[in-house]
Amino acid sequence: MANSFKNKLLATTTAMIMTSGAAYAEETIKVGILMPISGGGASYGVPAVDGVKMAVDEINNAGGVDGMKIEYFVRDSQLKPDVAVAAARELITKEGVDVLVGAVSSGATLAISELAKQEQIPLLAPVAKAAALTSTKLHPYIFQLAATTDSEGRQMADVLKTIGAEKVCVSGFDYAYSHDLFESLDKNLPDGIEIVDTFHVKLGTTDYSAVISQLMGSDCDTVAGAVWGGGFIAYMKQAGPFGVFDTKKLVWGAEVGSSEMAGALKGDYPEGMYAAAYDLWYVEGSEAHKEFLANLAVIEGTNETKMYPVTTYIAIQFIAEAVRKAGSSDPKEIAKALVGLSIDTPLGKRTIDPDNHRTNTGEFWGPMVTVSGTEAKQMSPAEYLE
Amino acid sequence: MTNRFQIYVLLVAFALLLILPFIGSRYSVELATQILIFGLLATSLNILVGYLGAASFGHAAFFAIGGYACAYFLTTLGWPLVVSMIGAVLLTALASLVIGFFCVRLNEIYFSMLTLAFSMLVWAVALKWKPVTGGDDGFVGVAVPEYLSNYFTFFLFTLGVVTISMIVLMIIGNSTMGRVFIAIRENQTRASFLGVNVRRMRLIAFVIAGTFAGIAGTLLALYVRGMYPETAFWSQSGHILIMVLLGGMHAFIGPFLGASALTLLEVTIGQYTEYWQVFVGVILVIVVLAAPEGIFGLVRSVTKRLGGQKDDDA
Repeated sequence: MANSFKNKLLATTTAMIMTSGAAYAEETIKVGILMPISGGGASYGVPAVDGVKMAVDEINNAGGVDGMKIEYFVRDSQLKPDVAVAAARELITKEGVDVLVGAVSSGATLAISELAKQEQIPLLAPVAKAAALTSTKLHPYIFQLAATTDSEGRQMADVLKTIGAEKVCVSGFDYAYSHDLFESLDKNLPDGIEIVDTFHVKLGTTDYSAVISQLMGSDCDTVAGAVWGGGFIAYMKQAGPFGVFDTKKLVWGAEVGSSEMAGALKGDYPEGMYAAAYDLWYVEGSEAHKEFLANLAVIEGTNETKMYPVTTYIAIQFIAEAVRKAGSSDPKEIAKALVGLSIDTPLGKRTIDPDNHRTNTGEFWGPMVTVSGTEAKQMSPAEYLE
Repeated sequence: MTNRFQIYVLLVAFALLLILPFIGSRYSVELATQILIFGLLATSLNILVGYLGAASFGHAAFFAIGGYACAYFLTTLGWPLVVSMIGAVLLTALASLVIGFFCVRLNEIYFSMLTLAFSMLVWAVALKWKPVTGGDDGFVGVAVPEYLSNYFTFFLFTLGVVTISMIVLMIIGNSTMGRVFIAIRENQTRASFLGVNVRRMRLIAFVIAGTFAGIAGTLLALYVRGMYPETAFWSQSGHILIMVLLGGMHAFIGPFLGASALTLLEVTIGQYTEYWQVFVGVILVIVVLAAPEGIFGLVRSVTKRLGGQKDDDA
């Protein structure tokens, strides 16, 4: 009788262990991707999703993370905070994601970050630069992988010093990103360089004639800009014929040094403008970077690959390494593992600062110059600044 | 605009929603919460569009004012929830009165354009008044009371607020005041000859619509735990108008049906394709062409055809 009970207990325990082992082997790491894949933000969101796809395929084809495959779900955040939050809720409650990655605009990312805090799900922000994300709104579940306005302002100040600027005009869209960036720039400017004029334009405007006239009338020797996307293209096309670039040096943030921007502007891109970019397909990088670009070229169908895939590629790398370190796909354990985590990325070693959850993400900075054999200008020399 | 059939539909919907958190998944409850908020918002706009015949292109302004005010009272000033919500609704009513005072002087497209202009003014204030609204980063981190932090209790709270609001709106719609709104819609001149103070009645309708949009806004702020300038943008007003037209503006429950259909369409199609907007657009075109009276009109004509039911609409 006793033996029979013992045998049953043994059999049941063995079955439970085997079942749990099978469940572990079949477990997946579910990642929710919130990116604007329609409308004005699609030029950021669609390439960012390419980076996710690439990283997930590579990890899964190599056997996954300790046997666990990564599964990802993409939702359109539309650059709208309330839409992004609704999509994030759906990803958490319906798909049961363990980690979130997104979004692009600061507003949408701050909104999702609040939900991440509430739901105790880690959120990795690979694009949004708002310093508030990891300063006033810092919590245990937010990790900012993008460069911040703090670091970008510091880099811009370094570039202004290098090119010998003295009197600087600043010009950006009239909203938080530009304000925070130029505040950081002002804080980091060395003695001898000062901001003399500010010429902001309405967010999303297409008419830059007024601001161009103001720029021409200013006695600044350098323009530090932060207008991005389609606005930057319109700004440059409209300012060119007035000869603004003949009399003033240009230093521009907001990643307008990307090959996407150079390709869109071609000959209208100001010769010698100092610009920034997260990634450049033509830079001589490490072996890991070369391999990354080669694989990305297959996905994008061109060697002239885009800039944003690397940001989300690194986000997935961080998630995989955090799961490996935690030995679990439990969101709380992943969040703990991400704190202070270091990984090797195509752009070098990245570490999440345990104090403010930011990474040492830098950007390529350099003058955009004409290169033989292509209409699009290229950054040369491109220096990686942290 | 409310008949017995619609009341039955509402009662059945209420009963189903009441048991939903006990039998449904968390996802279905979250989705139902969103539908309830936008359903109330669309129904509030229908006081203007359906009853009064005045298409407001700026209804999102009151949605945003209610939400921002509730967020500010609750979080920055630390007021209790009930006081914050009542304060926010009163403030929205006051804003509706001021904005409405100017808007109701105009008719048709001029009325629509002025409501749009005021809405963009509210959006600009939300964008620029950073110390209060958080600017373009939004008002992040609304201090929701602990007892509402659970999706289950928040749903029941939302269901309660929306149900009470819908009952009040239905009573208003069926009252003499509601009939006067319809009279103004049908023939403004004749109504004024009958002794109706048209401008005052239009203003009352405007304030009622704005106030209930404010209630929906307070619920959104609590649900999203934040408020963002996009909530006041003209595209949001367009979105609400689409809900009203999709569901049917000549029935009390039409806008609620439209809000449900549009939310479900956007959410479900968005899960399967990145081209969700194309599909939603095509579906909307088909619905509008096949059912110019909206989903409710389609349902009504089908049921009439099948059962020979008598139409007892006002």
